[in-house]
Amino acid sequence: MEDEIKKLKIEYQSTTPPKFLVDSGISDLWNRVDNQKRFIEAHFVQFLALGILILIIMSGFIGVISAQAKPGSTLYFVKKFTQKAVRIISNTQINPIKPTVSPSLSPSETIEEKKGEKDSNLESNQNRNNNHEEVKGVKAFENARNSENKASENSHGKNDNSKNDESQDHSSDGNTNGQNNEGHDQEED
Amino acid sequence: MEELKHLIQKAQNGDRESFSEIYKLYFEKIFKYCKFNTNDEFEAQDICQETFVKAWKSIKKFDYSRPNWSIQAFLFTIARNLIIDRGRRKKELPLGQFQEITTNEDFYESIDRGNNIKLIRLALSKLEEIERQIIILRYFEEMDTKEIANILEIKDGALRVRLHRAMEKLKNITEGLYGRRN
Repeated sequence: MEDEIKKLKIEYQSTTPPKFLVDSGISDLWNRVDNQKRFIEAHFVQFLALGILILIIMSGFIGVISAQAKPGSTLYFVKKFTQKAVRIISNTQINPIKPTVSPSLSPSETIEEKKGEKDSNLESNQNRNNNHEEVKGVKAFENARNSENKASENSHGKNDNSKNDESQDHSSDGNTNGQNNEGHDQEED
Repeated sequence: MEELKHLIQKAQNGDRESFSEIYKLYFEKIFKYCKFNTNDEFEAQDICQETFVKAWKSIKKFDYSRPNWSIQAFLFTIARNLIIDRGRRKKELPLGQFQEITTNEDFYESIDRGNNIKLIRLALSKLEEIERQIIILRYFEEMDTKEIANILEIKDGALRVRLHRAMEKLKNITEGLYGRRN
């Protein structure tokens, strides 16, 4: 076995490259190097264009796929994660909340902004007044009803209570009506 | 040794003359290795030239301070990778052509005449690629095991184990082939 390996080794060692290759090998080597360099230089723009095209196609493909992602799916999770990552990287928010700063604390804001803010303040004040008036009206109505109730309390007794119950709880309408009837009966009597 | 180091440094700085000197020093070794692995002279020439083109492109990455690393190991690593790539492209093992040494009558007749080299070549072709490379580099190129370990990117200890197993395997295959004849 070892003898055979030795013989094979001699055969291996005796292999010689052809003479022409020894002579022209170096020039062939530099030709290859220069040709490869020239090829890359000549096709650089094409390679670049191809790279950009591939990037566009890939981004479009990813966009289409992620648009079809359903909530709960892995793709949806990946999409959300990517969005989050992009948001963190770009340090921007999709729905930025404007900070509410008082006019006195914002010296850099323009007159138009201030004006707009004043107008909006006026509007909100008016709305508040309107609301206040509405509340006032409701209260007046309630007061009037209470006074009416008080008046009828003196005259009807039980009837008054039934009315209050009616206003508090509509589910007990049957009873109160019955009491009302009683009251009326008493009055009639 | 110092001269070689100087040549490498100059080549790393883009000196073509220095690299040509390195080429002259190692061309024959690389050619033999490629020829034995491909069993095709034209293919061996092409792989050999391509090895040096690749080496020129990546000579700047060559680290002289790396232990058990030499320009020879660097060139053999490139050559081996190219041989494997060609083999993949051809969708057959680089030594597939060895398998053409079929066990016909001529083959056995030459064995009978005491020419067992063909038998060993056939047995070598039946080994795994890494085992074959270990035997070639260790016994034919007479390289240090640490250097071979660097070329094949395995640990020195693992290489010794694999070398031992490869030799056992080769012996068994050879005996099997010879026994089939008898």
